[in-house]
Amino acid sequence: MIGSPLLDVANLSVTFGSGPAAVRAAVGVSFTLEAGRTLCLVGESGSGKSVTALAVMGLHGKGAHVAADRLALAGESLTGVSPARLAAIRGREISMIFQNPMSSLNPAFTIGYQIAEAIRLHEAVDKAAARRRALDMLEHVRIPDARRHLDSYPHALSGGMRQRAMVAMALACRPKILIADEPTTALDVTVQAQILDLIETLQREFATAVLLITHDLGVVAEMADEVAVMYAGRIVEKGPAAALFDAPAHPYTEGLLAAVPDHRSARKERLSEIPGNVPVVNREIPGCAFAPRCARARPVCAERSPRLEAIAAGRASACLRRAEIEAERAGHVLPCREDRHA
Amino acid sequence: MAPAPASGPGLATTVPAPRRVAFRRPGAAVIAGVAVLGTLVVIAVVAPLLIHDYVSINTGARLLPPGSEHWFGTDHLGRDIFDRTMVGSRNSLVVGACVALATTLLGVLFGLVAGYFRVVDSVLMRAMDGMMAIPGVLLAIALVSLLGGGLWTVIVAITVPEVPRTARLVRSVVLTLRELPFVTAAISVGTSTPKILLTHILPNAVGALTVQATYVCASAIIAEAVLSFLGVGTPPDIPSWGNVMAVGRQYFQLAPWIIGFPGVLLSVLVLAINTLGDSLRDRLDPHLARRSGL
Amino acid sequence: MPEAVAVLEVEDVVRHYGPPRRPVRAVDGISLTIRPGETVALVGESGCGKSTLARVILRLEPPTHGRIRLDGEDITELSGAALRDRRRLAQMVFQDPYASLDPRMTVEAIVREPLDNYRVGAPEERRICVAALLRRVGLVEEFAERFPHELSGGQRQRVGIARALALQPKIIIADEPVSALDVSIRAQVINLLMDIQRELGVAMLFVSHDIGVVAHLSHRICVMYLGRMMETGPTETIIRRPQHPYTRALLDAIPVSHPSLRRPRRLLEGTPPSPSNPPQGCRFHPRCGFAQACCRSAMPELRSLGGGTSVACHLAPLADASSTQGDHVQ
Repeated sequence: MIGSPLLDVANLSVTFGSGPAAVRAAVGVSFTLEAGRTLCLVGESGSGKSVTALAVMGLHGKGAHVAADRLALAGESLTGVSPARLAAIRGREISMIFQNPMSSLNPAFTIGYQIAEAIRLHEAVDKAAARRRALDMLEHVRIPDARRHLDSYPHALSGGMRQRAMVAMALACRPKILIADEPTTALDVTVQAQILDLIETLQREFATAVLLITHDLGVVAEMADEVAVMYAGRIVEKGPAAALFDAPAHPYTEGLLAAVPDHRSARKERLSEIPGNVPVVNREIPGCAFAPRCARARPVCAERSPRLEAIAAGRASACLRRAEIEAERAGHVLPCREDRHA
Repeated sequence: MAPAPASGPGLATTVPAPRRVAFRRPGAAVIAGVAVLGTLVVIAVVAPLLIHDYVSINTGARLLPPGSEHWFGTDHLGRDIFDRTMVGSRNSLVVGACVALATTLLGVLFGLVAGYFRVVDSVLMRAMDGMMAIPGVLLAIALVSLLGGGLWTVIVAITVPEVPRTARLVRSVVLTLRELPFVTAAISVGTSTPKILLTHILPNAVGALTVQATYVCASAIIAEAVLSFLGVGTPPDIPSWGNVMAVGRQYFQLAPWIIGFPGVLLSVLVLAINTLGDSLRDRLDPHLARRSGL
Repeated sequence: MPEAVAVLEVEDVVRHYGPPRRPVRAVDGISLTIRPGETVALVGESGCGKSTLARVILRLEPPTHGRIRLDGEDITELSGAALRDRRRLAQMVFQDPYASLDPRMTVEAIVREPLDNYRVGAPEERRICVAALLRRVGLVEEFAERFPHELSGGQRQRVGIARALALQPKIIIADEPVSALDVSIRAQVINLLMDIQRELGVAMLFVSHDIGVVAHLSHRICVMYLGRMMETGPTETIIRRPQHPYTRALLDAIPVSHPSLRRPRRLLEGTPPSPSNPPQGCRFHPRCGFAQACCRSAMPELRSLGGGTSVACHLAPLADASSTQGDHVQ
């Protein structure tokens, strides 16, 4: 790859509070995002996926302390940059959409006005031009009767339409990156499919990179080029989507994939479950954070903290027993092959 | 291969829950509030037993400034302000406590009924609106002229306009709570309506109510002082902070201590009660308690 | 078909809100029957009336019209003590594990409440019964003294299930019981519900928007749209050979399970109209790709296609039903 990636995050940490009571919401998170690609950050509640995204946007609150070895957008570092520059980057270079479009749209202004304002914030265009662009965006996100909805207030729109309006606003300035934080979680399945399709279409059209944050592995399977699985503030596995779904390297990923009921196999067996609870990251967990719930854990897992290590083409996993597990798997497969040959 | 499925009960939940957050150290403001309130309660109980002569007139000692003989000075009739203020604290506290209690009891009754039973809601709440529209001072004047001045007249006069406020609060809490799934759950496991009101709704309203009660108490103490100040409260032979200050009004330029000492005590007491109310609100709210328990 | 008395019979139940002249038709003529030990799933998008129907079945709301029979007895007109007595046969599990437990009660008090209400056994026996119930849902005894805020979401949902089991109901009505839970916890609770159902033979009405979960644990599926039943039948049939265009759209909208299965999306356009002003004719026709003139004028009745499947569509059985089959069955 020539030049630096579009978004380059290395060793990002987000800490709330200080001293022994500090909550380390994200620890040593590293990833890169290339233009036009989709990276999915997957995790359950408290995994640090949203915190990571907010830190990238510089939208973490005052209480959070963000540290990173590298946090760069198209080669320009975002750490230590002036608030004014950051504000200029937000919306123009990176924009974000959220789970609840109602609370991210201002109920006091019309949709058209809010989109036009977002454009005028970053570009020197007059009101009429901005309004034309807003209308154009609404048509782009396929809001029916866009001209009328330009003057609608957010409450007059359905959930799906509001999310479309949010997408229109986020993409109005043709940002290089769209961060979508659980954009379809509050929506019905048929509407979810519409929004995912919309994001994909616009991504292709504008060559936008998408950082998609979700807990839903189905959404990941639909959208992701690359996947990073987070658990208790750390990335435990990352890699190309197909490879990761084919053969998850980390026991947590493996467990998650196995725990999702699939309607296509209408069987009435027990689902395989991950025992225990989702951890609350309010204290340092010695060793691997997943060890208490891991079926493959050995005593060593509770002592040493695993590092994210490269395994194969673009893949990495943070598991102390990775090599053994792989050997185990290979052991399972090999005899079968011999059988078949015999 | 998938990890071995967890089999058998218990396995999924072997992680023990954290212990409940125990006693939390109160802040300095709360300690100060408790100290102030405690001291004044002791004074209110003890002072009338120790100090008997707070009415006799001593023309030789009129309008004396604070000194070693009279700590808080004397009024225009030569009465000791310290004695009158100390004895008067009983009046203020009794009024505050009685009004808070009466208001809470009546407010809970009306609020629960109005909030849970839709049928009587509008009738009851309109009646409450009517009560709210009666100005306390006018009611006090009317009651004093009907029944004569006295402590109970003051309590009734202050309680009547306060009840609707508490009732409204209780009603709004009930309206919120009754829609929550745990109330629906109680209905579906066969809990009777009175039991739902007493075991599910009222305990969850206690926090808001306690806080409200402290505010009512504080404002009742002020209202008593105001009524006495205006001459429609406690009669002059029973000292209260209000009527001590009422006297001081005429001599404010000559003898500011008459109005000053009871005034300062009144402010301190109200501040202490409000501080306690605020800290109670923080403590009684289970969500806040959980957050700080992290 | 077994001859056993149906645990639950819902007959043409209607629930309207607001002014009778222009009501919100939350539930508009639903009939369904659940036999002992059977799990029936009620599937639909938000606003289809599935949760309202669940509340009406439990008589938490009165039906505007129709009959509800619980274990053979008509409970439509019951009230007061008689209703309370009948209610113990149908218990509910709620969506939100946070809001469905009284924050001021201990786990023991929560699970014990139904036993106290119906005076089940002697007071000291109830304690033992609570411990047994907690064990049954996979909670160790120490949880009895805990308060809900000390528990995780999954543990709370287990407490909610224990409470629902306390009165040994004939049917459990579960309203989105896993949709608020984390993915790794969801499987635990689904397994628990299935185990309990198998062991105790209790019937279950499972209300959900997630057809994946529903397909996994139900015997039969009822698909609702705008207060009407669109299709009902054995789970296997519905999943593999959906007859109603809406059922198909629902299945098409489910995300794939593996990136290699991505296909061009067949999108259902638009959003459901308001139940206060439902379209003429078939409720689904404005969004239906197959709609014809008859769909716009006449409301299709639910009719049987054999094999236990019934569909409310003028065009069923759809001609190209088999061609889409490949997409629904891997």
